[in-house]
Amino acid sequence: MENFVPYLIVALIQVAISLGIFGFVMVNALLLTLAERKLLGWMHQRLGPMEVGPWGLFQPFADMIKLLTKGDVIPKAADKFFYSYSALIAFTPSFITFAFIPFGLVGGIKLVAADTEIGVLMISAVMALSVIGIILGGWSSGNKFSLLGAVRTAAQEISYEIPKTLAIIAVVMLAGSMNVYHISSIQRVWFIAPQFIGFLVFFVSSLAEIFRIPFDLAEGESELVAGYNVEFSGIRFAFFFFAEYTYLFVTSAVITALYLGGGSGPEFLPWGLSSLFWFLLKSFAMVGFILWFSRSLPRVRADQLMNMAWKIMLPLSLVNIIWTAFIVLNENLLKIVVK
Amino acid sequence: MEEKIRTDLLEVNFGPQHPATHGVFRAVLTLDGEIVVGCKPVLGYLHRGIEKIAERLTYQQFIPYLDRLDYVSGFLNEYPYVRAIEKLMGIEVPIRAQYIRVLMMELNRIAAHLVNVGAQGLDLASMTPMVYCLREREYILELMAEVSGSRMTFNYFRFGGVKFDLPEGYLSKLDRFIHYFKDRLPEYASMLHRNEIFQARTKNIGILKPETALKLSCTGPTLRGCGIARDLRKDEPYEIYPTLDFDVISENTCDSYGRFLVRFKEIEQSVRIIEQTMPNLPEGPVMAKVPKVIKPPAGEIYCRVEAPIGEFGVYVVSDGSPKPYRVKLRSPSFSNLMSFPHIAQNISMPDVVAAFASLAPTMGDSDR
Repeated sequence: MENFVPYLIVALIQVAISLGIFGFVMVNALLLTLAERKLLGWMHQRLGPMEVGPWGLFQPFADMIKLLTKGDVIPKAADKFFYSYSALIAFTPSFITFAFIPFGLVGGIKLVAADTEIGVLMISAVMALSVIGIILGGWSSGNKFSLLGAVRTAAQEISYEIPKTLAIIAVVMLAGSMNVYHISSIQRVWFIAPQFIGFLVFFVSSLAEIFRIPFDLAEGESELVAGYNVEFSGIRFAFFFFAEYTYLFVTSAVITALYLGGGSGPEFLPWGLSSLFWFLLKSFAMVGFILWFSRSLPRVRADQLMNMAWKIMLPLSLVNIIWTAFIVLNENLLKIVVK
Repeated sequence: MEEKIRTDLLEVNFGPQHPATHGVFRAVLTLDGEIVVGCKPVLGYLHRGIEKIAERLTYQQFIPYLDRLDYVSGFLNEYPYVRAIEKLMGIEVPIRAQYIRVLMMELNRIAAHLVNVGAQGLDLASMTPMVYCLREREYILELMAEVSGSRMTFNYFRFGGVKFDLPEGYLSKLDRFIHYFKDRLPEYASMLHRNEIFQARTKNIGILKPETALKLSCTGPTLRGCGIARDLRKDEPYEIYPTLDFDVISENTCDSYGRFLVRFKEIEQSVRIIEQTMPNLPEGPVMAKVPKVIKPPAGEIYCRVEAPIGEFGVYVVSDGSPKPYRVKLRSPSFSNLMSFPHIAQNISMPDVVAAFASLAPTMGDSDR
């Protein structure tokens, strides 16, 4: 019995952390929808949502209630099983990725739910799982537009997975570890400087992976109406939506950890709270940058996207690896870059 | 092994309920993967029988209906009809009315081109320029509403002139707008045709050969985008256009990009025209002496003008009664749309959307 108690406490703490992360994921996704609409509004010289609550602050909650109370429509042509679960398959991995994100070092405790040695690998592996949900959702809806969206998704994700992983490999080479916290804390110079090419490749590939506008082929509202989620409504649609916004944040957080020095910055709060502050600030700044970026550009075509992945991004990431190897092999250079 | 893999052609309904069909246009696309191998336009979803309606209305009563054809360029739809009746009856329009008409038509041309230019961006998923274009269009709509009393359905032109004179201080307002607007144009250029992705999506896409365009009686930017500089404002000048100095824009690229560029540059030309018109606006009446009941002598007439989309023609047959015997409208959208199957051949589905946007048809105009 005595041996059991510590395990129980650990288990309870882990449940608490999970619930905390779950809460963060939900609130984060909800607030990001508002943030996107507000930012978009300002870019368009509009106000964005203003009606629900003061300054439109409750708009995402109203949206949520609307989506939750909608009827559960399953199209006749749909494959019921896969149609029902594809949204969950797309959403769950987005939630899992949060386990590996190092939010900072507060009071001597690392704010990482799973501080594993293969964190970076896990993030990109788990992110890739979501694609299965999207492809299944597009295919099982029994709609031609969503089928086209799903097929595009498959091609796009596979192509961009490779340069993205190669960009990560360069970072791992530089840091000498796959532990995300280790990578973010070892940076003497933010890795965006020695890894600028890698950053570009990672950024573009990430945009392609989270379906932001120059690469939102899976949804492509002007040609495929809404792509893979044409037939989805209510809570299923909400899950796809959640996945998308969660990935928006996850991608920004990963960029922060890998390239922007994680939680490093001037310390001005006690107990290392400033590391949490800087991490979140950098991440949300990155979110803003991605939103800004994606709202100023038109969409590319599927074949142009493929060309870019295989003919530009892949060679660039290989060049980047060679350059990184050059840094790693040169002791003096390496000392400047990492601690 | 290879024989066992069977691929099918996919038939997709592009419209009538589709975000990129600018209304209720429908095309049945046959897709091989993403490549369009067959395209069959289906028209008539917005047919309202406007030509038939004309036959049971008096001549004046039909003018408001014309605003509802190409609903983004009401003035330019009203004008050919009004001019046709004036020619039939031999009415001389006062010079001030002519100036006001040209002023309004060019303002409206800018507004219509702004919508089409923005929509081209929107169909390439670039939402921001569309909103910017609509912002400026809103300004123009307010200016036009100040003169005619309505933002889009003007009902302003009359046989023999225009309904109202310009309100007081109108020209200075217009002048302010022109100054404001000229600064905005480079902004659109940077977001639209100077953007590399935009160019990659429109250059060499949706090729329309000049001879095909002529055969299908395409007009307007669709034809001028094929390198044929045909503009009725120069070729068959009407109103005060002979006294104005402006260029006919044409592009030799024959693709979506060329058609877009023609539209964009025509906005600048319209600004030029407005700038020349404003200082020379003469004083005088805005209405000629016209009988209360319009009864054109028996006969027929065809009158055409350069609308934003192309040549807008009105054919009226009069039997001497207060109602037209027959009205036939030649709408540019309809003729230009006929080139769509040629343009949409063997390009991918997203390019079809972009190419369709470059024709910029209005379904109210096409289906009548």
